[in-house]
Amino acid sequence: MDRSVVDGSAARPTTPRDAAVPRARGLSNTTREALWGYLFVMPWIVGFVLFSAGPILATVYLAMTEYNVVEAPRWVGLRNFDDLFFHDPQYLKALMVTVEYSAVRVPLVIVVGIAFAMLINTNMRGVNLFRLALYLPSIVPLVAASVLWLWLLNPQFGFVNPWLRDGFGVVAPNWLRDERTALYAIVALSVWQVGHTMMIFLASLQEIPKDLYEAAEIDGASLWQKTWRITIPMITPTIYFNLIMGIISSFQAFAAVFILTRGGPANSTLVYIMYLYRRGVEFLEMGYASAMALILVGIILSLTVLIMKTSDRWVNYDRA
Amino acid sequence: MRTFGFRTSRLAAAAVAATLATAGLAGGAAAQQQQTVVFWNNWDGSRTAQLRTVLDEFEKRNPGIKVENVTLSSDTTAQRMLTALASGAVPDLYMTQANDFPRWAGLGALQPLDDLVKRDGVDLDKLFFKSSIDGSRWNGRLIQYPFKVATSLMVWYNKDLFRKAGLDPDKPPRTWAELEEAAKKTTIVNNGVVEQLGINICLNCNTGAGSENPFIELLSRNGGNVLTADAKGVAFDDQKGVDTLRWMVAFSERTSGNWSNAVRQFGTTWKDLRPSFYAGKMAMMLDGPFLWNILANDAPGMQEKVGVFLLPTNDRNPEARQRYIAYGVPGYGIPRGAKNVEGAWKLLKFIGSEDAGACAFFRFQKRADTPLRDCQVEVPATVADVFRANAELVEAPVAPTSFQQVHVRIQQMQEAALLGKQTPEEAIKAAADDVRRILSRTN
Repeated sequence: MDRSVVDGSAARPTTPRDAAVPRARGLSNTTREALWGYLFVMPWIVGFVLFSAGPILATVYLAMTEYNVVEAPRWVGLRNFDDLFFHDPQYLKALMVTVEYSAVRVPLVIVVGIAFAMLINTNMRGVNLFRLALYLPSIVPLVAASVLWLWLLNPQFGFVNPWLRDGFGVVAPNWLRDERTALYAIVALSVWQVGHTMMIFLASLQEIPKDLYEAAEIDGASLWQKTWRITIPMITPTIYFNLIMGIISSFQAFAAVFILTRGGPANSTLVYIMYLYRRGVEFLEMGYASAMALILVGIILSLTVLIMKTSDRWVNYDRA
Repeated sequence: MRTFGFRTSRLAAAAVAATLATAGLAGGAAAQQQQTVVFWNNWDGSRTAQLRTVLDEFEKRNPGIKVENVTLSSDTTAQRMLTALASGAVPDLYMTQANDFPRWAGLGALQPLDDLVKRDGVDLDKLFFKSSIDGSRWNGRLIQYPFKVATSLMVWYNKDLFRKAGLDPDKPPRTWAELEEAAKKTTIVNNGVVEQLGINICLNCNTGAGSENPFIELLSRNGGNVLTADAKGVAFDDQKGVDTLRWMVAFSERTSGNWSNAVRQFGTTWKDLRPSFYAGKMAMMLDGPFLWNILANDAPGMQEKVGVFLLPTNDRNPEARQRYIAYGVPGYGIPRGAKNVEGAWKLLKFIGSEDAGACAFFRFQKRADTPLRDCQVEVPATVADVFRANAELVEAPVAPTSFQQVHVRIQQMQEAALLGKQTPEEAIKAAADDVRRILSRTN
C-alpha cells in the first residue's frame, strides 16, 4: 500500500504557503509553523509595541518626573505620588467621586440592562419596536447625547423641569448645577445609553434552555422564582462580564462630565479622568497626570482581580 | 539581447531620472511660488465664514500664499497645541485665549516677534492700546499681536425690564449699591421661586467653567490686586479681597435669597443664562463685548432692547475706580518650529493690525473690542462709548505661567463662599495658601 495513503499525507492539499516557502534545513514543522504564526501576528505586535507598550513604559518614566511637554522631563522620583496621597485633597475628592459614580452606575446599568433584556425577550406584538426604542439611545454619540441632556435638563427651557412644574407643581433642582444632583444626572445619561449592555443580556437570555423553565412550571414555580432561581443564575457569566467592563468604563468616565459639568459644581462631578485631564492638559503637569494614570491602572487591575477571585462563588458556568 | 536590455534599462532609468528631476524642479518652483500658512483659531459659528472672507482678501493681496484655516473648539485647543508641540507639527499661526497666553509664553512655545517688528518698522504703540500690547509681552519681549482687548465683563441689561421695575434705562448703575438696588427691583420671587432674576453676580463660578472670573473683575473695581506686582506673591487675601467676596455673598442673599436660588432657576454659565436673558427672564447679565454680535445671530431684535454699562465700582471704598486687571491678553502668535514663519508673519500683520484684515473682521462681527486704536466699527454710540471705555480701563500686569491654576483655584474659592461651604474669610485664606503653593512651585 502506498505509504502516503496510510499516513494521510496524500489527502493533505499543498497550500500556497507550503509552495512559497522553501523548506529550510534543520527547521522542524513545529518551529516553521510557529515562525509563520509570529509573522502573521507581527503587525499586531509592532502596533502594540509602538502604540501601547511604548506609551505605557513612557508613562511609568514620566510619573517620576516633572514634565510640561515643551521642556525636557525633570526627574523628581516619587514626589508626584507623595503629593497625590498626602498633599492633594482634590485627588482624594476625585477618587471618592469616581467610587460613588461607579457604585451607583454599575449596578444600575446591570439591573436596568437585565430588566430591559427580559422585557424584550418575549414574543408579544410590537416587541421589535421596543427593542429599537431601547437600543437607539446607545448609538447616539456621547457628545450629541450630552448636548441633548443639557437641553432636557435646562431649568428654564428644557423638558424635565417645566414638565414637573406644570404637571405636578414640583420645583425641581437645576440638575446639572446643583452639587446634590449633578453626578446622578450624569449617571442617568449613562443608564439611558444602556442599549449595548441590554443586547448582551438579551443574547444570554436566549441561550437559556427552555426545558428548565418548562420543568419549573410543572413544579409550579412563580415568575419571580423562575427569574431568581433560573434566569439570574444562568446569566451570571454575562453579569460577571458586564460588571468588569462597567467598572473599567466607570473609572474612565470623562466625555459626559467634560461636556456637561467640567467637574463642577463644587467639584461634585470631578471624576478621576476629569481631574487627570485638568492636571495634565490644563495645568501642563504631565508627570503628575502620568502618576495618576498609573494609580488608576492599579485600582482597575485590583478590582478586576478581586472580582475574578470571587467569581467562583457566584458565577455559574453550568449550562447543561 | 542582453546588451539591448542593458542599454534599454539604462536609457529608461535616465529618462525616469530626468522626468523626476524636471518634476522635482517644477515642484520646487511651484512650492516656492505657493506657500501654505496653517492658521489655528477658535473663530467658530458664523465667524468662520466671516474670517474666510478676510483670508480670501489676504490671499488676493499675497498671491503666493494660501491660508489653511483650522477652526478648533476653544475647549480642546490647548490639548491640540500640546500634542502639536510634542510632535513638532505646530501650526504657523496660533490663536491664544487670555488664560492661555501666560502658559504658552512662559514655556517658550511662541516665538518672540521683536526682530520682525523691528525689521518691518512696525510702530506698535501707534497701532495698539497700551494695555493690549503690554499684555502681549513676556519678559519684555513681544510674543503675540493682541486680537482683542482683554475681556472685561460688562453688564448688559434689558431696558424694558428696567422700565417695568421703575428704573431709568438711561441711567444704569455705576456703583455696587446702585447695582444691588437695580437687582432687587428687577428680581421677582414667587413662593420662594425666582421667576425673574435681576442678575447672577457670579457668572461661570462653577469650577472649571470658562476663563471669566467675576471675583477678579469685582476686586479690580474695589482697588485690589490678585497678585503682587512681580506675580510671585498673593495679594487678594487683603481686606479688599475679603470685602469683595463678602459683598458677592451678601449681594446674592439680598437680591435672590442666596446664590443657589439664582443658580437653581437660571444656571451659571453663558449657555444657561443667555436664553433667559433673551427671553426677558433676566434683567441683567455679565457678558463680554462680543455679545453684541451674538445677539444679531441668536436673538434678532434684542439689540434694540439692550443697553450695556461697565461693571460698577465699590462706592464704600474711596480708592475704588474703574479698572480691570487682565492676566494675559488674547492674541495671535507664531509657535516655535512653525514651518512658514515669513508667511505667518505676513498673515499676522494682516489679520492682527491692518484695516482690511483685523478691522474688517471685527466690522463683520460688529465688535468694538478691538485693541487697535484706529479701527472703526459701526455700532450705536451708546454701546460704542462703553466698549471704548472698557478697552481703556484694562491693566496688564506680569502674569505667572501658572495663571490658569490660580484662576481655577479662585473660581473654587468664590463658589465655596457663595454656596455657604466656607465663610468668605475662610475661603480667601484657604485659596491664598494654595495659590502661594502653586506660585512657589512654578516660579
